[in-house]
Amino acid sequence: MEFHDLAALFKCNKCGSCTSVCPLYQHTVNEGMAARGKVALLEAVADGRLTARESVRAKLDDCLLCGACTQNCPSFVPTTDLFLEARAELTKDLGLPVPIRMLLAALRSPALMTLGTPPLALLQKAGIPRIMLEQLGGVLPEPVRAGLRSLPPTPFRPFRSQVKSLPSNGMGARGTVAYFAGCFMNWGYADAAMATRTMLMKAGFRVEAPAVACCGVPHRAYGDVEAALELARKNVGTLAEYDRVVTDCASCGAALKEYRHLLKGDSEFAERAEQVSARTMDISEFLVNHEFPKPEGHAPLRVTYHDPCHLVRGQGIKAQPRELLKAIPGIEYVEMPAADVCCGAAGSFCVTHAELSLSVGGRKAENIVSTGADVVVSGCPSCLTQLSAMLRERGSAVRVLHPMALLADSYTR
Amino acid sequence: MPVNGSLGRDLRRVLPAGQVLDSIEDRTLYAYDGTSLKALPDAIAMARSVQEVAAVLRFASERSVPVVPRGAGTGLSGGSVPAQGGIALVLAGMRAIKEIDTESMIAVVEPGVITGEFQKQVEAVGLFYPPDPASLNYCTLGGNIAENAGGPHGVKYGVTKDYVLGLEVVLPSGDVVRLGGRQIKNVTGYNLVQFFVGSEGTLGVITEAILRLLPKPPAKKTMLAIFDKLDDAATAVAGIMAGGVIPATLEIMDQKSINCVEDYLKLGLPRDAEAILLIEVDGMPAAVEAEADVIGRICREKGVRSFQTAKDKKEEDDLWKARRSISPAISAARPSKIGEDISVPRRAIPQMVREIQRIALEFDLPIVIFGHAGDGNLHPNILTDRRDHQEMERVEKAIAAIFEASVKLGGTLSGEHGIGLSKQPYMDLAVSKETLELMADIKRAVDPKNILNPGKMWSA
Repeated sequence: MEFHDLAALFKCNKCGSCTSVCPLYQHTVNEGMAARGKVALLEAVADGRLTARESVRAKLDDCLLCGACTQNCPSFVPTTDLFLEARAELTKDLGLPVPIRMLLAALRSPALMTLGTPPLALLQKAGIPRIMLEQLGGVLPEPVRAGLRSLPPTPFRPFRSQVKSLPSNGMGARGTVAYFAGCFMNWGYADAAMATRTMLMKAGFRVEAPAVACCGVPHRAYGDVEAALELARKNVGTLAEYDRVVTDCASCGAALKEYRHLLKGDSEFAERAEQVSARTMDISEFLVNHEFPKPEGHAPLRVTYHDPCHLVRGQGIKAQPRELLKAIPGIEYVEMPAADVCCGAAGSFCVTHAELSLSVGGRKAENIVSTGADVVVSGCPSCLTQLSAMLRERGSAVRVLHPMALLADSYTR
Repeated sequence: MPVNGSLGRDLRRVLPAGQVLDSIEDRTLYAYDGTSLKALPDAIAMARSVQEVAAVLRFASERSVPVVPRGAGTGLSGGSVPAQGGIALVLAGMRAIKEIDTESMIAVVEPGVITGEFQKQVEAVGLFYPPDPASLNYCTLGGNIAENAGGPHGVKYGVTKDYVLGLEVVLPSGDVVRLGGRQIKNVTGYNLVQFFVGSEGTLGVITEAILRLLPKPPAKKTMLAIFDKLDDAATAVAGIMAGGVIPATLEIMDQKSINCVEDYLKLGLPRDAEAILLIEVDGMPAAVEAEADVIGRICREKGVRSFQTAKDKKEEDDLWKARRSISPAISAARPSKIGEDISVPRRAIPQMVREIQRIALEFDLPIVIFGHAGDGNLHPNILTDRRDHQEMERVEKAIAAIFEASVKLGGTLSGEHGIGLSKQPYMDLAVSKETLELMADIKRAVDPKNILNPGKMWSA
């Protein structure tokens, strides 16, 4: 395994600061969970004291990639980048397990995803996953149970198919926005995606939802750098024509803003990647920066907000979603404890590491319930499924919504 | 040492499943602490109760296998590094606060409780646990007791040892003893509690502690005083104490620290100033006002260049900013830092600072000095690059020179980090042969097989 920035690795002086913010360490009290432990393993590999093999990868995979350690490191060790780099090196050497390869391949095949949507929606509407969990909970292997728990509220038709049959929304007084409907929003949260489109139109923009590819976050997380680069190039090609790119998925937004770094060395795409990254905004950021008609209705709800890792640390967006929520008439906003701590979803982590994910998610659910809120809001589809699952497990009635769903809905109340 | 691959397997018969680790990856994860030192344990035992700790020690005692107790592994002297292999006994999982008695103002805790978390819990009921090592957000109370950790509060409130009333300790044989108790006053037999405080895991394993608490001071005031001359800052410190005020914290930054922070943050600190004092007083509101007035007056008498008092929480944070930024500023400046921890009589601070500055020149190493001016505990931090072996040789020599200077000025090797591995070669500079022999006698009496944290503190 080779690191291009060995000095960054050796900057870690094992102070232990990361242990105080690592959600996995907090639950397990195990060195391997915290960043300094992983850095120690990578140092040992770099020094030749340890062989890079599956058991090393297993340790590196015990990570939410939530970025809390990176943000909190007094020595500025770029932990998350180091771990991503190490994962890439290990994937190059060791390959990936079949189920993961299938997942990553599916995310690269929009046609396949669209084909699978109606049957999944049908199962969901019939309550089959719920029934399976209740009846077979004890028999099913944990990853299957976790998968069933973490299903999004799949629509019969993905967002982009729905939009095709909608009348065009005119010229748009203020210009055109490319709405990046990521996989999870398109195939899992079409209603929330529609709400985002509505809000962009309310703000006076013409909205296009180009047929974008997966943002590449899952591929990067699993160290499939080639796939991540290919997806990034595809999206940069599509999005470079637009002056504004908006997304409502925290992870996609963070990825798009990273394209400039990812494609830095690509002579053909570097310049356009720079533009796309610079022009990308999360919907909450976009609405706060652009005037839009104030919500007028009345939503008498107690609302709390969970910070997605890829928004609060990935993009430094903390105030904007709260500001939007507080502006809705009737809403009583209440801050939950540890709002910016990861919910434990972390993409497929909630399936591959179900037990850890449940313990981290359980704490999050307790913090949500402790606020007495009617609704918890979060601008990340992965968080939305996790929060829903964790609250459902506890029999809680707290509703889980994307901020745009709540905001768009408030105009109709 | 009769240690081999079967250690982990045999240890699994003693502890519940999943609490023994011995893969090469796991051993790598428990090889280090907050220093740059590392040594692989042969197995890791995660204890969850006093019974399990006792079982591990009985097991180790029978086989004469080293046992190295470990809290969060954040120590700064190599205390929890398994220098001779054996079992890393991890106590971080024992993290229950068993009791907070608001009436008697005591708490009963397990060793793995995080210090800062404990402080938050007691403050929530109006109480106060003063020891405040810089690592308080991630170090454990058990580790604090084993190392007798201090912190900025030392000047007014003392250090960890001043808050330990009772201990439950597992001896190397596996026997469990309870020492001290829930009383403020207690002269029933030898003062064995203090015997284990600061023993660096060489005598026993702490499995429970009874800690003394104070009422939380209702008011606090933070001040920042910038001095052109180091000597003026030092006479101001002496003057403040002589004036009848013992500040809750009295921190000093030398010129190099000021410049390091200024390079990093551009706070507008004067680069030509030789010292900054950060002073905090706490107590009843009227007393705090009066004490702040005295401090302001004395600093002005001693020729302070600028004196600021925080009016609210935000200004308080602003004043602390320079002090709190030293660590990241150092990290930004060079790849590694070696933090030392000498402790001198208060009056010797200016001489000690100048000695260190001379040593920095002599060995051509950047050394920033900051620390606790109120109690004479200074942290010279050498900015270096661990991978540069030639430079590290100079670092070693500089450290030895700093220790020699400290002892010459009536000081000692370590104020609050402990001896462990890193200062062990210098023990005879500060401790006489007879005293070392007494320590060795005690060690032999308690741990005849020398299984607990062998090779630490002094070379046996």
